[in-house]
Amino acid sequence: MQLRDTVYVDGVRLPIGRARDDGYYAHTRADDMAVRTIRALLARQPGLDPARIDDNVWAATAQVGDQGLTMGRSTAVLAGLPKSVPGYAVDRMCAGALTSITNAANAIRVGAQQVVIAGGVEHMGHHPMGEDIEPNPRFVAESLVDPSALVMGTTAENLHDEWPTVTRERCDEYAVISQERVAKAQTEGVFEGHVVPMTVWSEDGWRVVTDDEHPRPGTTLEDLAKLQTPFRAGGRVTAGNAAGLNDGAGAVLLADASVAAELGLPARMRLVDYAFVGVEPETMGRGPIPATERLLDRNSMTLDEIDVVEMNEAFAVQCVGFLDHFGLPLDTDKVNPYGGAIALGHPLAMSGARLTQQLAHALHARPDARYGMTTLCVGLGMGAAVLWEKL
Amino acid sequence: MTDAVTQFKVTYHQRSRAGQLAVVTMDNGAGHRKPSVFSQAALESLSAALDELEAQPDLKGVMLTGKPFSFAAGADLHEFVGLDARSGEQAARAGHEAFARIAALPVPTLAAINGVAMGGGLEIALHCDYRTISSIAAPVAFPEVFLSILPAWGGTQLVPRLVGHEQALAVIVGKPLENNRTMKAPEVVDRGLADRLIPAVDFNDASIELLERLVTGEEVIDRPTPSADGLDEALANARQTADQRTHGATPAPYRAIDLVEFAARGGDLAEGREREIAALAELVPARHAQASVYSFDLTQSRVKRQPGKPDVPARPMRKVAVVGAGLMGSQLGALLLERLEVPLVMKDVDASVLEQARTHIEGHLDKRVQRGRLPEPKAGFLKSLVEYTLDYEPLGGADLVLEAVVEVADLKRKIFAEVEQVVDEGAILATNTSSLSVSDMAAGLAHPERVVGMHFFNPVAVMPLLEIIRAEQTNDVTTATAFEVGKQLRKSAVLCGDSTGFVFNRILFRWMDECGKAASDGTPFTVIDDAEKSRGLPMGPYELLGLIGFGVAAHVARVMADAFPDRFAVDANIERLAELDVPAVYDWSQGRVPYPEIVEAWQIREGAQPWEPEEVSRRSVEAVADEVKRILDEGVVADARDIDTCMLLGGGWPFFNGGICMYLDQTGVSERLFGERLVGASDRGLDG
Repeated sequence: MQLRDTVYVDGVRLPIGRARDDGYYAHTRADDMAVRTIRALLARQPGLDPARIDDNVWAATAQVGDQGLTMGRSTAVLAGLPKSVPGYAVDRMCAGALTSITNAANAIRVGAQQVVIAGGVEHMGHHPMGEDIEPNPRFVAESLVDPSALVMGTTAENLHDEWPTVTRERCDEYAVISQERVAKAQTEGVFEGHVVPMTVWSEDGWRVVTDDEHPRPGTTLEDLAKLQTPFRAGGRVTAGNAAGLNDGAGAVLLADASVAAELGLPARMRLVDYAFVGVEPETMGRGPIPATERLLDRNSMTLDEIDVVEMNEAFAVQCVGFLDHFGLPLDTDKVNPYGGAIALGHPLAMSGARLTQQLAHALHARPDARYGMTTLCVGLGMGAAVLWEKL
Repeated sequence: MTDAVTQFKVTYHQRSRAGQLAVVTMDNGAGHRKPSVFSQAALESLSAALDELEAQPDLKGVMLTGKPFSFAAGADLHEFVGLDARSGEQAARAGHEAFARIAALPVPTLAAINGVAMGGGLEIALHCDYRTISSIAAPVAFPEVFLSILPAWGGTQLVPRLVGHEQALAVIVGKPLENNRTMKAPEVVDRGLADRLIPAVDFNDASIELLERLVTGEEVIDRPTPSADGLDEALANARQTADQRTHGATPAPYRAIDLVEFAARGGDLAEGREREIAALAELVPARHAQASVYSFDLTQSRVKRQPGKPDVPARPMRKVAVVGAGLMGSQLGALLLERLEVPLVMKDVDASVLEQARTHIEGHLDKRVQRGRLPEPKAGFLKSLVEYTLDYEPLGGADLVLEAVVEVADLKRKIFAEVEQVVDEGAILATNTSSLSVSDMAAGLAHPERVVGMHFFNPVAVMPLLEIIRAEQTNDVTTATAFEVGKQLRKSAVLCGDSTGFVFNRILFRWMDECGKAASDGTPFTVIDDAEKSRGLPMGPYELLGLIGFGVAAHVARVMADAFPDRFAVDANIERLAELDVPAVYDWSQGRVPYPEIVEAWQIREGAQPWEPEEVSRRSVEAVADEVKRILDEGVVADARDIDTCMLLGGGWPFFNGGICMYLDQTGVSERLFGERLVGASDRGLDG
């Protein structure tokens, strides 16, 4: 059977907030955040009759409370989509939104659906990592995973152990680059194309949040060198060279290529292929390497042919290891040209949406670029990679 | 009763094109069931927020909105109680001054009406340059005239300027007088009081985006200049409406119309504001406004707490029955079915009556379906829950049996005895009698403690009052169940003792009885009706008689006379009218002219002189005062406020009189006749 083409039409996200009592979204529900992105997405595509939307796919890692009740369906109703629009929820932890996107794309590729919203949301302020989780005792009793596998920061320390050349100094250097790139992209208005403000409730009444809350522009190596290593005494992973704990929501609009043309929807990228792989849970940050390799292999490509990589920065060690593996310098233009999660923050299941939006921007910002890839590492040992072609 | 103080909270944000924008939130810090109100302290907070906004050098626009789900409910009514003219003037002036500063801000201002906006809440929005309203915002209204005051923070002056005199008179005078009708969001936009209707889901974000576009000039809001055409006619109509609704008994609507006229004739805004302030200073301390606040509290707050309801669990309703499926019974059946949604048995001795009841009940459900209030399949299910029967057996298992047969005590006793044979021991037996003794009805039953009176008023679907009659042996669970069912039926329940006529009919018929003496002395019906309406009553006794029907009136009068022969008499004239085939006293097709048959049948006492209107009014008030005092002294109700609640909700007696007890107190009648005030004068043992 000939697969149909899935194209990326548009994407929006909210400014990423800090998961704190005084953070942007402390008094805002996660589902309302998701709804805001759906409404903004529709407002930007006035030619799209909402009744044409065939599905509303939403990822969240913690599917309880304001992220419970089958988010895809509940946010479709809350967003005022016609009741005929179905929805469902997805969970692949950090690769949540990425999995929403590949699921949605597949439904389009096989011709079952034509226009689909795919998104991810995570309110880590309302749902701290590991909330309400009861890990099966067999994990440890039967040595199925190392006990450290369930603490993400510790898995990053494990990676450092395996990659002694990825030093804390190099990781801090990478973190500074991330901060600098985000600050520059901010000034250049890169994010304005896909970040929509939201009016949120706060102790001071309603306030409008417009820009990401997490970045610390001007961060220096000296600043970073002073930070504690909370996961291990004498370790290498700090709050400065890792992603933060954040709240955010992002959504993208995908469509069948010919339907997009028929409806007058802009087609900005074509989904080429994707790969998900499993790796050892205690070194989950390795995930992007085998995922990328499998993806390249399936498509008989090399990384040289990929013009832009948007990689989630869970931990700098994972990124630096990736760059080393593929022989790229820390400041390569190819990877994360607008910075990444170390500066912007990483609201788990939301991040795949952000990476995809930034990739679309980067591919179009570079006239000669053709292929781009988004990639993430995933808790409990997985890697994800999605290959796109600019249209 | 003091609400949390409303704070005006300010946040700022920067937009790349529009620059710095401020969002001002009105927030009293309480849950969304308690909307923000403007006390003096709130106005001080507004003043501080304005100090801050005025000092921002780079400010480009301001959005004013409310806490989640509500905008603002206007002035703090509680601050009005006992306010003198000088304080009233200060309150009005303080609001004017603060609001005028909003209007004077040099940057575009937008009020984002996100929920309830009443009175001063709507006025503060009118001081902004633009208004958006959320699709779910409701109620929106100027209720002031309903409370015998007027919008005095610029409302009477700004609304005509914004949308013209016709809309201004409608929202400031017409709607409040039409039983205080309020608006939902689409109507607010239709009337021009808001510029944009925005779906609730987008409301805040879309409102701030609109402000942004207004600041940058990308969007412009043009409004048509209101037409001055037809002003004289509109004013005359408004004054006529005020006459019809209040009969001149409260000054507020007339003062509001005068102020709208001033603005509509191009009066100076500053002078208009002064006139508004002066009018409020005069109206707030007056008895009408003070009584209105009292009435508002009784009907909106106190009665909902159900004073007198015993603190025991009510019997849950899983099946109910109505015995007597006539006019009242079929209405009660329809209400029980609609609100309780449980199996219903309609029992009667006449199959054709049952058939009519079925037509009524099913027609009632069909009407709700047509109005979009009830899904059709659900209506089908509800219809299937009703059993129409000539037998008692189907009543088995009913948790409540409500009898609504003709007003014959022996018949009702017999029915209850039959019902007792088939229902469970705990089933509640309720009677809808309007005047008979409930204790008598219970006498001789195996379980008299489960008999209670539930006196609904006709038409059942419309009239809010429910008198719950606790008979001698009625136990707590029975009384509590009557209250609970009343609440589920969305009625306002007042607990009464088992005294003939209970509260409402006892007062109503004492009043009609006294008025009847004037008529029997040859005072024309219209003179009597006008004299009574001049106090603000919605109808005079002879207009009302047409609604009650001569037969019913004669019957109740007889029951009252039997119970209280010392002061109630059977009016022979009414009994004669009951024999006639005439629908009412007045032939309205001729104007307000009595039917010739009525005039002919009416016998005037020999040698009698017609009464002057003042005498009619004085004597009717004194008769009612006497009956009220007896009701209180006999302990038929626990509190004078219960009587006022009955008269406000059962008879539509005007808010600005506070029912009857408050009126007697305010006009000095109770002091003169009894040497004490009735409302809150003495602790009569219970308190709601």
